[in-house]
Amino acid sequence: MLKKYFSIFFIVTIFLFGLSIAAYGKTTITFMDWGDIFQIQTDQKLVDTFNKSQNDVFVVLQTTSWGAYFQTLQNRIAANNAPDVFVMDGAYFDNFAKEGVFYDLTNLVKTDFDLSKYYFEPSVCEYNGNFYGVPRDITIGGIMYYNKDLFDKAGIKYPDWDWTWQTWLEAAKKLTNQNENKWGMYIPTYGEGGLYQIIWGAGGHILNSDRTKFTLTSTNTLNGLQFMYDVRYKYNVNPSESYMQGLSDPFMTGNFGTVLGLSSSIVGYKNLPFRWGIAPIPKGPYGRYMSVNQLAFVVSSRSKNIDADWKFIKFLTGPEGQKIIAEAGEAIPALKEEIPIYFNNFSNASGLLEILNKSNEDPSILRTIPFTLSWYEWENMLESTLEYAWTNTMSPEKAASIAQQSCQKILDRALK
Amino acid sequence: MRKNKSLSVIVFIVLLLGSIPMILPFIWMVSTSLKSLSSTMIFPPEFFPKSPRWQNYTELFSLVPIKDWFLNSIFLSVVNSVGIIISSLIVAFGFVVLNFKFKDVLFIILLSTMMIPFEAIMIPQYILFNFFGWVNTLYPLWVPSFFGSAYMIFFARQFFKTISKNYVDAAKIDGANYWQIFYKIFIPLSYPVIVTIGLLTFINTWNYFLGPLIYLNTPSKMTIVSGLSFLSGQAFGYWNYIMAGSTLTILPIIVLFLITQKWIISGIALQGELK
Repeated sequence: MLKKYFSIFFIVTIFLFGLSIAAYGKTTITFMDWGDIFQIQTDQKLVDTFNKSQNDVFVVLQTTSWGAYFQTLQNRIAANNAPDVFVMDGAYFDNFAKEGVFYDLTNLVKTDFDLSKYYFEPSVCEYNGNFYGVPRDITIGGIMYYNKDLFDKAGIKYPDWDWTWQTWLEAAKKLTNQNENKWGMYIPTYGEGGLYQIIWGAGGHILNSDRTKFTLTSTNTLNGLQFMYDVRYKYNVNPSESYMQGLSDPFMTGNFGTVLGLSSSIVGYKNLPFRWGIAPIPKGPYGRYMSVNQLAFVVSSRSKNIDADWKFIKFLTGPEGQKIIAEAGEAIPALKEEIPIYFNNFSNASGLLEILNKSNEDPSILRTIPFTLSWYEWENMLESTLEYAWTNTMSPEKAASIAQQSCQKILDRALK
Repeated sequence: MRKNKSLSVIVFIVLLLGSIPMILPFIWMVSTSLKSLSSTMIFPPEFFPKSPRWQNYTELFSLVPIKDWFLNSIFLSVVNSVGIIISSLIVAFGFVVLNFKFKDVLFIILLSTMMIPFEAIMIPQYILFNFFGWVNTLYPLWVPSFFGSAYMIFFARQFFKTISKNYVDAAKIDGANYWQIFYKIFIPLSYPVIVTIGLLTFINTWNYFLGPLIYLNTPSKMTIVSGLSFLSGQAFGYWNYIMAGSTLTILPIIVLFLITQKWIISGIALQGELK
């Protein structure tokens, strides 16, 4: 009896296994990306357009939601079922590259790719001098969203390229009215959203130039942290962190005059009930700096169809693919010539186009995120330790010195 | 008489006050599902939108494949309940009535599987299902249920132990084999257990979030609970649609609860007795 059931089960299993083998045959490659329902539609459009445009390669789209992406990816790599082409984030790039997950694209990039046409971030594409990724899109962090209705009501001129931290503070004081839940500014406490840019504007750095030692307790860095603290507890123009609990997106509430943030928020702000604009971060004592981050397309080192993968990547990073990405509005394309198309959808965001154009003349205003091995680990440590300062439990100096020690430990261990 | 009346009034008031914080999240969920996206973010938050946006529900249907998701959820929940009922009862019967070599060892192994966290077996399980070619299908989400669930086997075993051995002996004397003892004696006595196991499994499968997310690559194959995660992106979420989807998600469970209330309460009491 038992034997009969077991053999039926065995036969069914082999049959299903055989079915999956039968599906192989033509040059089919898999492409994996994360996204919400709209981003998936964009990816589907990219895949469908490519599939229709030629007959040699057929791409199958596989998607997960953002929260499940890296776990799913690790599962699949472990099971030797990695997707052929997939999207990579700076936070994990170094770690995956070190493990040999990516195919070395150096020769292909050197002979068949014009990097000068792109916004290109080495920290998401290069590792140990080799190319493992090519640019997909860019995200600018630390840009200032401002609420035009609130500015008009207070009779203040909109922010422009002359603003300094001083002008910013003065405007914020006029815009703050705690009785009405109105605030002049919000500077996010996570790295890419505001923390890094304020530290840079104060002349400080997170890491030294070869990214081996943290510099969180240098005078300039501490001045930047002090500014973040003062706007909350000295000038009272930025709410405390306990107030911010539960406010997932402060700008959308309509109660904030200025908010520093990421360019990826633009698509969510499209239908806000108030008028808004984008301005560059105001000049700090040592200049104005915003961050530039990137997603890259990578190829699995175990992929069996490198030629097909590269053909698809050329489409994704070429004018046609980048145009689809730009028109969808989910991300700013890395290919510079397609960038204006993105802004056709978002007239409110024209300030960002100005920032990008200015950065072509003066590249110093955009700085790369200091990605390293174990970036996620030390970044979480940094943010949660500095939280003590933002909740007024500790002085910024004390929090910074604790963060310096803990983060250095993590980095030392990763670099060993 | 008067004393009893005033006591029941006090109890009623206490229960009423206690139920308010419990029902608040549900009221918030429904009210958010009727707002436009920007009004979900305003602060201070408003409890009842001035103009309820019923289109959120119809728009949800065109935005995401909700019908597919519902069908997948119902399919998985029903099949898993059937699978776990069948397999758990059979295995529990084996442990209680039969005697075989290594019975105690096997039982200890069964219990120890309850202590292994899902994260520890997630990758090996994925490798196994990938070997079968079952990734991006629903198989990994229901086939394992036909191989038993440690907790349900344990629960059924505890119940079977309360059935007097005399029945088994009498049936053996009458010439019954073990299968007949199983479905002629044990199953008719086990209706409360069957309903409890079925309900618990149905609800657990309905709520199961991680499995579909790991094994399924195409949005249309998802279950409703995992599928709703596609409405929240990296930067922000479409909270009004997510809440509309969540409201629809709990409706079948509420209906199921109302129909089977009696069984659930006796089932929970049963679990308490058997411990």
